[in-house]
Amino acid sequence: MVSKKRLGLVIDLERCAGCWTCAVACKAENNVAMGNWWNRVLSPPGKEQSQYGIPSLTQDGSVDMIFRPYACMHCQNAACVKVCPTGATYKRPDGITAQDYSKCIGCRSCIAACPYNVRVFNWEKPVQIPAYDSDHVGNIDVPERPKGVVEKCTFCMERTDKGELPACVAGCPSHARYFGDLNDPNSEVSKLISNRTGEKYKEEFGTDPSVYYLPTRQRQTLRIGVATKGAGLAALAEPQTSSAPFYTGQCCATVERSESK
Amino acid sequence: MTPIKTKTGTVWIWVLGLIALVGFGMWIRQLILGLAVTGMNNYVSWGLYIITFAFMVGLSAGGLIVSSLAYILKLEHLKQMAPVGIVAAVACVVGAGAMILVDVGHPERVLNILLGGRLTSPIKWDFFILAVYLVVGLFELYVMLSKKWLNRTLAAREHALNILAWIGFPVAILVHSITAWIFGLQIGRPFWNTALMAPIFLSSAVVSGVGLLLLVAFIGDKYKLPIPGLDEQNRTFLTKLLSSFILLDAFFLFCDLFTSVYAGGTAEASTAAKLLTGNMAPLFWLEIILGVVAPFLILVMTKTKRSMGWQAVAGVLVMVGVFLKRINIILPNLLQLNVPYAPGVSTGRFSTSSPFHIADQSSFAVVGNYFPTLSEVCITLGVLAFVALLITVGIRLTMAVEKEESVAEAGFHEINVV
Repeated sequence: MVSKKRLGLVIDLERCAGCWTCAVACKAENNVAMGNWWNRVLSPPGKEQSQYGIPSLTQDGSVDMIFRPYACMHCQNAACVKVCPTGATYKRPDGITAQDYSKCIGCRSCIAACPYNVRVFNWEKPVQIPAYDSDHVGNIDVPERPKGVVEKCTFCMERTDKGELPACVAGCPSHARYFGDLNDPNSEVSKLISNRTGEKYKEEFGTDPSVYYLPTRQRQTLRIGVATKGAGLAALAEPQTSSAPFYTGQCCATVERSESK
Repeated sequence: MTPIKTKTGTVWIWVLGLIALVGFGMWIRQLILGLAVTGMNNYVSWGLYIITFAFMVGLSAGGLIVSSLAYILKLEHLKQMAPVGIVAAVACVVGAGAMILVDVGHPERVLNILLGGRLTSPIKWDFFILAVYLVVGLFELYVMLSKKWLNRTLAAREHALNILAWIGFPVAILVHSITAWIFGLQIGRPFWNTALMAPIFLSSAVVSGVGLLLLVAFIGDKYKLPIPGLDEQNRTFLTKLLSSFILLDAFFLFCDLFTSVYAGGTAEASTAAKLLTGNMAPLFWLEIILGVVAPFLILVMTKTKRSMGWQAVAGVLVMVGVFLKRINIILPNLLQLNVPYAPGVSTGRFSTSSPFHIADQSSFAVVGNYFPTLSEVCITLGVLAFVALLITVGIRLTMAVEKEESVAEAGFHEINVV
């Protein structure tokens, strides 16, 4: 059975250097106004327990902190889509949560509904960085937004519809981002998720996000440890995962590992 | 059917009209400049407007629920109060609609909600039910006050009002439940996401609505206005209703907060802690003292419970209390993000300053802040003044009709039942 297409993003936390290139590429590509960001890089403490990004200390005393690039999760069961009274926010058949700026009345229910706080509102007429005024730097196909509408990451649908990669993926200098069809088991993203135990963020809200994060080596070790204590077998079948040297090179490391399995 | 004119009344109407006009002007300014003139941002994306909207919806309840109850439970004496109750309900619903209009970024597009909106949206349900509520209320007023209906027999009018009450009562319940579900159905906001949200909205709606009626009764008595139905007997009924609903409301609130804090360590618990002991505690305890303890004492103490003045004080206190309650339900969860890590959310405020943000500084905020701007306050006061104006005009109409009625009915030795 051919399943429906579901576009998704995989972000490798082990490779992310926290340089913000994805955020800036997104902002430039989509002409996001000053004050608003569709994409940003959070700096949570590794255990994500202490608030406000203060690094937490691990048991051996080293500082534990990760970078978590963060934008719309394009949830399959999107809370924002459900509450939108006009249908301005909608799911496309390919899984993208899109926004129709001409329908949006600006009631901001979707901002309140989004468990991930990724939606932004144009409180005033969008002002671009002054240099942008005379020269449309970003993608000319991206529609302009009036004041008073909500906007957010669109997986750069103007690019991806043509088969190109989203700006954040194309621009990532450390190859930490992958884009593809999550429903295709042979796609790069699906393989990465299954080989490296990709996880959805804040899954407890039940919105079924389409963005997966590949855990850092340290966290993966921890996860395998936990798994061994519990069900065990799946983890034991892959004993090298925790000790193997990880990702010193490019993404081909993934291929090597999946072949060696 | 000429409205009764007094000098104080005329000044009152002019003052209210002026405030409403200033608010309208500020709204035009907001339409031009965008919602940047408010204190809201991407962090706290709903503010005074939505708080006042929820408050106004609640305020309208008392009127319609009490009036409908009079017909449904066949409380003959209470029926006299129905016109005033419905005037208050209709005026407040108009005010609630106005608050939504000033809150949205594109008020000219609100009809998009009707034309091909999405059926799963609580805002869409609310839009429908508020429209139905308004139509039912206006039609009830038409039956009570229009020449056409007054010329028909009393039985015919009673029959029509009975049917309308049976429609109006469930609609009133639905209005509050749906308004509560705008918040209560949000899985992303753990503190809002409680099944108790609709019951809480209903109970505090009755509390504030009855409070408004008591205030109207006091003003009517002070200026010797013959407002129909707000006599000693009905006021006693209202105070009993009010004191029991204050208790019910407080019980619901306790259940909600107790469930939130008991386990500890959850998102609800930290939001509730913000309310009980954190930076929102002053507002919360003010709500408890002004909205629960003080009015309840006034309404049960034999010294004060029969005094019209004290009843009005209790009425004002519960309205203030319920307004604070709306703040304390809506703001804490907006101030609490699920993912609060640095650098936080982009606030959307960069080139314009707000009370907590200086223009051209960082657009990120880890800690949420909200304080209404002068513009926001003016627009809100404008809407409130407009509602007060509608209530004044509406009550004048009911008084005018009442006067004609009593003159007409005196001849037939009939009991005055309107």
